[in-house]
Amino acid sequence: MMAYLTAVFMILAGITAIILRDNLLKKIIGLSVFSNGLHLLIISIGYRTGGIAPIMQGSNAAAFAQAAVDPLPQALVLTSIVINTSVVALALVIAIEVHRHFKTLDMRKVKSLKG
Amino acid sequence: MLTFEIWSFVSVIVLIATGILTAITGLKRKHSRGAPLVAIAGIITASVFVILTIPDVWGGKILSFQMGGWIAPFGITIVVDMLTLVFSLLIVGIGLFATVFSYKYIKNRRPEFYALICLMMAGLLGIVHTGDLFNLFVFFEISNVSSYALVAYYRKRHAAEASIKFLILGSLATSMILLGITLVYASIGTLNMADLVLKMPLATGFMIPIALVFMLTGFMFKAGIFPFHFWLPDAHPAAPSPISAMLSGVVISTGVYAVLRVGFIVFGALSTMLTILMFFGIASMLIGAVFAILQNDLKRMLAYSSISQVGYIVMSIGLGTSLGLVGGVFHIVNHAIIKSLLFLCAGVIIYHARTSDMAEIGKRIRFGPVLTYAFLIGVLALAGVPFLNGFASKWVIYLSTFEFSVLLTIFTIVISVLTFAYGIRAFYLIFVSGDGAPEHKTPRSMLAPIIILAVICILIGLLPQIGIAVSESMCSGLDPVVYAGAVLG
Repeated sequence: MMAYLTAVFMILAGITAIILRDNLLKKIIGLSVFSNGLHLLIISIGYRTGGIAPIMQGSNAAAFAQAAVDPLPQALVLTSIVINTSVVALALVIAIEVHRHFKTLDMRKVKSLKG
Repeated sequence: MLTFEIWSFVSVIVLIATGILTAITGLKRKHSRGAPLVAIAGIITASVFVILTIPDVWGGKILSFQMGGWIAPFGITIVVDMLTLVFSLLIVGIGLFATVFSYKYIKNRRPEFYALICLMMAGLLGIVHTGDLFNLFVFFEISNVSSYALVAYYRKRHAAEASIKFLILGSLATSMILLGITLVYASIGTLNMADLVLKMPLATGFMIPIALVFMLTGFMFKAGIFPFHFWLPDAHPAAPSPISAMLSGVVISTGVYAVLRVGFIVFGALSTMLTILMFFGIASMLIGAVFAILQNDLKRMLAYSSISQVGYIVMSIGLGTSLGLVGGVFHIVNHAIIKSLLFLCAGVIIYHARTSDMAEIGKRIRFGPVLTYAFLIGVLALAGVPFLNGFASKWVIYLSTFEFSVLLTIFTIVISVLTFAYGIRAFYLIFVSGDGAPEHKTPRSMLAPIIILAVICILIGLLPQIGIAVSESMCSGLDPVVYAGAVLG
């Protein structure tokens, strides 16, 4: 339960940062917090108190399915972490580019486009 | 003897490999001809693999393949039906034209440009091939990350600004898709689309509608539908013209594809969802057309026009009738062809005039007949003038709205008149009014894609029954029961 609450809190905090903060870096941090909250949520779905690692040993499949945690969310989160890393890296590169042109990271001042 | 049937999925692997190879060829010599040629060769190879699948799928058969030999709900499933096939053909075709166009258009031939095009195409092809929700998300991110970088390719003020806005909002949107997928997994316990079709009726509770809302948000962002459209008129003009052609032609179409696949097959076309789609579609049609008339910038006008045309598609799909579905799917194909034609024309115009302000272009350059007629064909087809492809699909859309309400038909025709107005205004400003120096010679590699696309516009316009038959065949795969039966065997 604690994990779910933390995940929801992180997701809300991330979205708040993306929408309400004006500094570009804080928006990117918000994006990262949002994704990590999401990862925590996914992991919590597959969690089982006292569960064992989902590596099959022996041949008793039914007992194994009872004891092991769900491996699929973990696989999803690993993939998602990799994607998220590349998105944040690209975001930081473009943030440098924005700073080079506008000499500021304040998104209120980064406005050359209309509409 | 190989029993492998899904040749078109090989194109995804070919394009990822080409992307890496293109980046490697550019390591030693920065501005070599190697990178574009490797990319073009890779895309042609990918197209061959897509074309190989045509005879297997033609007529509405559904093929499926289990990755790694894991049986259906456990492994990743690849599904190829008519919908997938036609989208794949559009992606490789327009991708090839855009890459050939870039050969002369992109001056300094930076290898990363071609590597990113290949990766974006691989992502888009992956979206249309996959039968697994999480895999769909992964391919969404592949194509999105490549397009963020491509929008920022010209390292200018507006490109950096458009790209960072696109990136932050786009990542938020794809995270919404992941959140939706998480909720689906939490309440149903599978991510395979065919398996979901079977288990969806058993699911109870409030989680499923919430999951659908989150996923639709993400898909409609990609499609550029009204409340999520604001990134589009910034990002499309900031990108290099061939990339704008791909963004407008195929990237936003894959957003609609995801709505079709997930909304219609997995969630079984809920009536609330259809109403939402229709409402947002109507709003996009109006807003896109009104803003397009107000623009002075050519590419910005075309970008708003894309919002309006995707509005047509989504409105037509949202009607929920089979005729509406056929019209919407047919218009996706036609819009992709017309809009890539127009953006490539805009590319040639900007190549010569060095500005995208329409009044300024008219004063500077007088263009030759090929470009003039190609642009005119594009503009007329977009407005839905008879004997061009836009008319065929818009006619089906008019008929389907007529079944729903006469008022909606009148509204749709009014928007078509507005489309005609802004198209002809652009044509008048650029080609008719004013006179400047005649254009310099346009490279053949830039004119050839434009001519081919214009000819396709006329051909589909003259033979609309073939297009309608193909669209009907595409829509027949949208029946959840047929889909689940074919995939799970």
